[in-house]
Amino acid sequence: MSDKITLDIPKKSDFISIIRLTTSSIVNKLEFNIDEIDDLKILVSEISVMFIRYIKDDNRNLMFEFILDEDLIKIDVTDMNQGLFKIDDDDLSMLIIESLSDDYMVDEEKKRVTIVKKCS
Amino acid sequence: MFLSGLSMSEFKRVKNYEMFLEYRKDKTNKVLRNEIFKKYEYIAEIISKKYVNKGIDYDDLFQIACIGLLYAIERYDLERGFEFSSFATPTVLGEIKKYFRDKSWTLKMPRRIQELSKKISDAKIHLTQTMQKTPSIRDIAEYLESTEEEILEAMEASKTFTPKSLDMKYENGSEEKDISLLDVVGQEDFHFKNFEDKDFISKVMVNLNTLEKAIVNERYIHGEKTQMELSREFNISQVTVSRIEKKVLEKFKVEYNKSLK
Repeated sequence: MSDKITLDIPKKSDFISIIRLTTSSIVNKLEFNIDEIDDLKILVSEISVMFIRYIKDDNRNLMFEFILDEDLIKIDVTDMNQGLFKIDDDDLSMLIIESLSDDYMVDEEKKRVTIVKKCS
Repeated sequence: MFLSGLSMSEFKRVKNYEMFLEYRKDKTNKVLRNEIFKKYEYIAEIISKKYVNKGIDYDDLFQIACIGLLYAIERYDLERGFEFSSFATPTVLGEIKKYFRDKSWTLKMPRRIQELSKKISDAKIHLTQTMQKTPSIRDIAEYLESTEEEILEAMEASKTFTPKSLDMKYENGSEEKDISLLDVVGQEDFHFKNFEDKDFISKVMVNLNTLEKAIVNERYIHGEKTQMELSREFNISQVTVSRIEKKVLEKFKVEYNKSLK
């Protein structure tokens, strides 16, 4: 049985620290170690930064969905704003996400990035 | 008159009678002792020559033999009526054997093994002749009524009779140049290991993304930049660099452990 937490938050760089803090608090529930918590904080902020960089429109919020399982967390981030989400091949944020997550998925059409991280 | 009951005439037949008689009266007479020594030095020489090529230098052997000869002069008892040479020979021999037993082992071996290794080398010669072939360990063990393990242990130990010098020269049949032992002692090929490591690293690097590669390269392979320098270079936080670096090193570890299996 997995728990789900949703965070609906303005798409502004000022709020990234709140996203990071919330994320760390949530994943702390799942006995992630401090290294993994750091990873997850970097992951959520990189995803946010990516949306801010690619989609200029910021009238609507960013939607974070945390799905907590026994030993892993899945984070869905969706940008509800208008605009094209097309990621460059050598995008730095993408490389960081690739490095630090156990699994990730980018849906350019739905403007959604999903990452999975297992707790060791 | 004489303790042994020998008549004076019999007594006189002993060679150098006067010298020994004189020396017995005054054992502090070093000049006389040296004179006797000179006369019998040949005994030391003959005996020590018998033991060359057995692990101790001739010069050392001769020294030991000379000490033995001095003991013999010291202890020689005229009244027993034997020639000095027949008394001196076993004394000198004994001295040399004692030296072989005690001093020539550079590494001290238990007496049991020392004695066994001597028996083994005798048994080897004996068995080779009686069996008309090179004896096996079992043959030697049976012959010496010992276990095969003991034989092997003693054979191994006997190699340390004298450690081999690494500079020891071997004759090299075809060419004029001698080969020293050091040249033929094996050692791990550094370049091969280096090559293996490089191969391993490049294999793991294939699976890294460009950012990960860049961090490994700049941090370890082509430079020793700090995480701070890299974070400025890539415009990401130092923590991010640190985390990615740690992740990559973990990947290397996992791959390395896999490669060991």
